[in-house]
Amino acid sequence: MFFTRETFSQGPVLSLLALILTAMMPLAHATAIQGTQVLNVGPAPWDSAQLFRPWVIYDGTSFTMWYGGEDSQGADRIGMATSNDGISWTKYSGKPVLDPGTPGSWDGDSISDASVIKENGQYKMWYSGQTYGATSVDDVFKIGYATSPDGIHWTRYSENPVLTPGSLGSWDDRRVWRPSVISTGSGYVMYYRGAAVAEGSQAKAGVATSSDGIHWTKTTVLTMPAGSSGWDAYSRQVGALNIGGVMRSGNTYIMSYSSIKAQSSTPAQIGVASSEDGTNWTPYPDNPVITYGTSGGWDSGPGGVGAGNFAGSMILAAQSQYYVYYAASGPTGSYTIGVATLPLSVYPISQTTSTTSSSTVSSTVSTTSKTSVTQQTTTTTTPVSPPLVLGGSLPSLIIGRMSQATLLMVTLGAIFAVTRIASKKKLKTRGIPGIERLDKWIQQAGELDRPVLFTPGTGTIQTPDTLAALALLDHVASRCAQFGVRLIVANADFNVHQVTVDMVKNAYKKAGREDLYTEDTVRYISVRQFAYAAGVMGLLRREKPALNVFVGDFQAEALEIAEAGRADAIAQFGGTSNVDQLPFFMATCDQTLVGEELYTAQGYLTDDPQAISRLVGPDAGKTIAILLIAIGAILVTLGNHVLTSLLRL
Amino acid sequence: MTKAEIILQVIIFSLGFFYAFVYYVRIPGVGLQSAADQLFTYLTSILTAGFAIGIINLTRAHANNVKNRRPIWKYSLILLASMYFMAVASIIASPFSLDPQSTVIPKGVYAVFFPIWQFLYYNILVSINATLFSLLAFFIASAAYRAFKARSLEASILLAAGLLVMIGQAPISNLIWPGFGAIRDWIMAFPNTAGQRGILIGAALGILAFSVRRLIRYPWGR
Repeated sequence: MFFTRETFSQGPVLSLLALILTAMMPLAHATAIQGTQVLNVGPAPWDSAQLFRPWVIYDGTSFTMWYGGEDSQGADRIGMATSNDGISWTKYSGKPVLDPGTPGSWDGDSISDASVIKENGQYKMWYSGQTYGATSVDDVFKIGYATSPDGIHWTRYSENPVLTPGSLGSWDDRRVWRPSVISTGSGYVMYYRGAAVAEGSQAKAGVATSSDGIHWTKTTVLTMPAGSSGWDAYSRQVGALNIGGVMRSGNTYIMSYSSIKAQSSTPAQIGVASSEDGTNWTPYPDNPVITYGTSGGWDSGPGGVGAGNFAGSMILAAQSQYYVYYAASGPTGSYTIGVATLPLSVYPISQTTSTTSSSTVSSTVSTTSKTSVTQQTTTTTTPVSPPLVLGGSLPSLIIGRMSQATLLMVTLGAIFAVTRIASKKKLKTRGIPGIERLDKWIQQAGELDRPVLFTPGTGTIQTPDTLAALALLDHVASRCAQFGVRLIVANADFNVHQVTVDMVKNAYKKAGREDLYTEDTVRYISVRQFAYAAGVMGLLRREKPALNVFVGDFQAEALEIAEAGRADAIAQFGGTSNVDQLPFFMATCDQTLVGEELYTAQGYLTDDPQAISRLVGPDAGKTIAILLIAIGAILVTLGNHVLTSLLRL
Repeated sequence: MTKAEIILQVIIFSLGFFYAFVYYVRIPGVGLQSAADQLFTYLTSILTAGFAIGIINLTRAHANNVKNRRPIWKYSLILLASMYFMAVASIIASPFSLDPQSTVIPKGVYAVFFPIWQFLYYNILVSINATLFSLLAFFIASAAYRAFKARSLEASILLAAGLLVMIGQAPISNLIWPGFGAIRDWIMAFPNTAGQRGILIGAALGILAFSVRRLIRYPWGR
């Protein structure tokens, strides 16, 4: 087995080669920085739940921010804060500066996404207004306009909204929101997010121009090109462009945007791109520039940074550096506002190397005009600039996900072919050192007349590590029944709870020890992370188990539980594939299953030749993976991106 | 396999195959994605209903503690009381109560319960949560102390790498020797990243093989 610890210790050359090759993989850039939280929720009730996309202007001496605040009922309003350094902020007066409109109006349910400029002593704001639909998918977003003499007291334009979703069938026929407006001197350019009703479509960025900030003409749609690799792979696969904000510095336009690498379990990060004309964009070569935080931090939520409907970013140049303000979700899922500063000397954003394609295409663009109370919509055919190209020009030989599907089929075919061949042979495993101690510990628990505690962690029934833990529970419950040991299972997820009840009951029934199963055997503790930790720590202290089997999906609570067990000298058998928690498992558990060992542990715990043969199959997959990594790393080093592009890495 | 298990297995395999198919294949004009989304919403609703099972189990376990006057019965009583009170307060203070007609919850009741709920949630639950989270600092210190004992070659390497990263991370390191920062960056960018990727790739392949086994073989652990 390539990745078992035994092989690593026996094959230093192979280990070194594998380490070098994996380190060479072109994944996320290491220089992305984390921002600092600058504005938190409350204390006023109107923004006590979450804070959304900030917009900041700098007048040469002080900073002013407008931001979206959400109350505990889910309604958003726009508030204001001021700062002298862009870092320490003071909220205005404990109340919002702009509330939702009258109930039933286009912005009657919620408003957010302010974009503000100051011209001739007057503040001008464009903002998103929302009306709730039957479900969140049906919510309607439009863009409105307001003016103010001081940034605090705002007057809405009487014929709002000024930008509405396009006609049915256009790319933005569902909603338009998150405006980012810049003044060109003779008029205005608005960048905004738009989404379509059509199934499977992704939000893109639109551009509209106006001479007065009120009557807008939609000109271009910016999208991500198909085919990609790197930090923004998924966003480019589906063509989604999560635009944050756009600023103008001299003749250069600079955009902040968020992207993700894969559809799930990859938090969004923020990148920047520059343009000389506002339409053809080139990314900063070392994107992403801002990344998400580690477990427990203000920006460590699953969504990442600058992502979500209202949680965008914006970029501002002041005091010889770029300030990127953005909303990020914390461990509880609530969004707050932070900033990251990028020194101009370190991030020469406008000095990019690659350029975008220059072909011109024709496209149908809907043009709206606000000449009367009733909106008139006309359709014209206008030459449109080519779509936004971010992240180089890798060749894309296969469109869509077919290359991934092909690789998956090849890997699965190899796994099954090898498993089938192996099942006809008598195989011996090298084993995972120490795994056989699990059965001995369970037996010892019986001899000591103490229970065994099984903690599958805080993952849900859809989490792979939790499912692997349940497979191991089947073994543990069988052994407990066999040795007459009392088992306690502590659950955090109610669906995992139902499955574990069924599994433990069946295991005891099969062994004819139904007498051992009581209502206290499988316990539901709490879905909340630290309440779960407190509950399990209490069980360790009160029930004094001889063994804590501690496998599954864990976050920060893992160390608290494991240290509590360690303090009471309880034998601990741990396992997870969460690389952030593994060091703590190694430090606190007597035996730890690392990564894939968790998924193959069952094979090592049995003498069943069928189960052993199934261990061989994944090795075929690993062989393919190692070969692809090696070939891909060499090709990328030589400047050839065919393989990475083909596999959409 | 019993008949029931075979039926269950067919359902599991069909659903799994359907979702994989929809992810990889897009047929224009056929609303497969929409069907998958609706099915997922339906499944989510069913899964959420399972919450009641958890509440029932919690209630039974702690009610038994109280009934039988087990040593911790007072804590069980506090748990039950606070859980049910918070549940009622949350329901009353939830957006359901904000319907314009006030047909669900009278506004007077809402006005009484909302501040109580807000106090309990923000001043007690959030504070307790933060306290438990803060305890991690002490647990990390004790775990690090154990991990950094140089008992073997591997532990000694860990100790050396840990010390270099910690020193490199400390603000004073640059004053002692500027090279500490570069060493820290190298350790984090190469050996650390490579090790993490090795684990992740192995785990991903393990998940792949495990998922297929789950799809085609219902009983756990076989």
